[in-house]
Amino acid sequence: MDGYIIETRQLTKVYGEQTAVNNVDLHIKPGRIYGLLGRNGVGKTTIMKMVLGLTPITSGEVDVFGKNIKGCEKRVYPRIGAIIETPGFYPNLTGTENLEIFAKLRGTTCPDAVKNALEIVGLPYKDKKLFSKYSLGMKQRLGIANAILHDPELLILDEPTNGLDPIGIAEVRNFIKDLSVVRGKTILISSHILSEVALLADDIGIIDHGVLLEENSLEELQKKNNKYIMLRVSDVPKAALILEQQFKLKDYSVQDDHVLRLYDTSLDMAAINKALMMQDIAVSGAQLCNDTLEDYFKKITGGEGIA
Amino acid sequence: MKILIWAERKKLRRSKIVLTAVFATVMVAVIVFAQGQFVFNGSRYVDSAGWFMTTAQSLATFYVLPAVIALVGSYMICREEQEDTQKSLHMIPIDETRLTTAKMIVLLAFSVLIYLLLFVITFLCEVVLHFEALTAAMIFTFFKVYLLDGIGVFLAVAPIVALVAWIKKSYWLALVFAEIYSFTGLFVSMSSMLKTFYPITAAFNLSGYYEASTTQIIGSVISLILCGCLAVAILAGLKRRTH
Repeated sequence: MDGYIIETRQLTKVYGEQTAVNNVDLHIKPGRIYGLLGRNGVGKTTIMKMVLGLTPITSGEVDVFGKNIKGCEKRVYPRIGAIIETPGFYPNLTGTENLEIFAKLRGTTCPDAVKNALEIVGLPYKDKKLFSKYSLGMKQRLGIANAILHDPELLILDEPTNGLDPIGIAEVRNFIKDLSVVRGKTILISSHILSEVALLADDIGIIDHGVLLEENSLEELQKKNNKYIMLRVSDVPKAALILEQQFKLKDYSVQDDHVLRLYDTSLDMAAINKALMMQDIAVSGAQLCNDTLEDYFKKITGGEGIA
Repeated sequence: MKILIWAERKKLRRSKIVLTAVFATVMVAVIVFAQGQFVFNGSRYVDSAGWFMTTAQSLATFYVLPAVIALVGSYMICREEQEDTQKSLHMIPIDETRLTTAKMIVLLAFSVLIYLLLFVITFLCEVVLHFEALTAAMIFTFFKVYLLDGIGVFLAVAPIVALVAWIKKSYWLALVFAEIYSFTGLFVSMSSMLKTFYPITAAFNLSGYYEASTTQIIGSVISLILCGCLAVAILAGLKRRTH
């Protein structure tokens, strides 16, 4: 089991002729936040559902807390808190009443469990507002409160910031971070918002069309990102010619009519500048840059960016 | 099971369907009372002591309450799917069969309470209209009739509720099934053989509303128990399917 809280092996889900999840191997370490990143509809929720035993697995295996989840769901569930898709509650009851029901059904012993959970997500305790009158953001917060109600060791949160306003997103991000850092919870979170995952996750799994393309720590992913010099010039073809002939430079790319990227960051920029100026090429900017995570995401998915 | 029953009771708080059921029960009483204003042989029906209590429960059973009870029961079952709470319950984890059993127990209590509500309304009207004509024995007999009607009608509609749990379709389907089912009782009641075994009219044999021999009562009890068994069989099938 190698000390993973969740480990999947060759996890696959096929709906009819469509493969929603294809041979996914996830490795989620204890006490860390794992961000499952991918565009909408690429299989993130399906993976989470399979991990939780909420949908049958076509092939492959899922270990949770070191044991195969199949047949052991009932023993494992009390140790997990989850929101999958939109959280469902009884519309004719208030948020507090809804949580009281779930707390009692779970056999939660802490008398202040509901109050504490609501406090963490920033919802009022004993509020008279019915769930049917809640905004999407409030529903999402209540879903998270329900997931943390019984103080689980593992949290599985499917797009937990969906529908939240920017302040709400920051609040949710902070308390998710706190749950991991302060309380040592292991958290699997899915999102299509790259900046969210980058701010929150310790480890990232990038998924596209049901395939896990990359799984690494945020640190490692950031290290992998290219450094380059962005050169803004008046005449790109002429500048490229000079770079090739005088500096024997091959590792560069043309971004547009005025921008070049030089991937050798050890170049003598003063000499390059001088050489270009001598040939009447105006250099309006030279800057050392880093690829963003979004650039990396684009590169490995071979497609468009992500929010 | 106690906690599940507590939760089911709590889930019905402020429920519009329950309020509708209560409203329907009150309306039955109002309509029967209005019907009692008709004059027959020089006096109004309602002037006869006990007429209101007798008529209200039979008309309520043939036209309204079985459908209302089936509607509430299937609403309780279907709502977990429709309100998307199934996932959360599954992850607690809550056994689906135990949950459905808890819902059926709450439905039994609801059925009895709705009949007792009708009893209270009709009883209070009778007190106002014929206080001196009422006897303790008469009141007790009516109380027993209403109480057993509540239990009998629950058993009669239980298979419909279980069936809706099985097919997991709209709970309004239960209302339609139960309405046809209870209305058919009107025609079945014309045959003494059929009314012994037809579950809706069997409830009347059980409660004592119909004058019936011991054999007929036993036949009716067996019919209602079979209804209960059918509901249990459907729920057991549901458990197998879940596993």
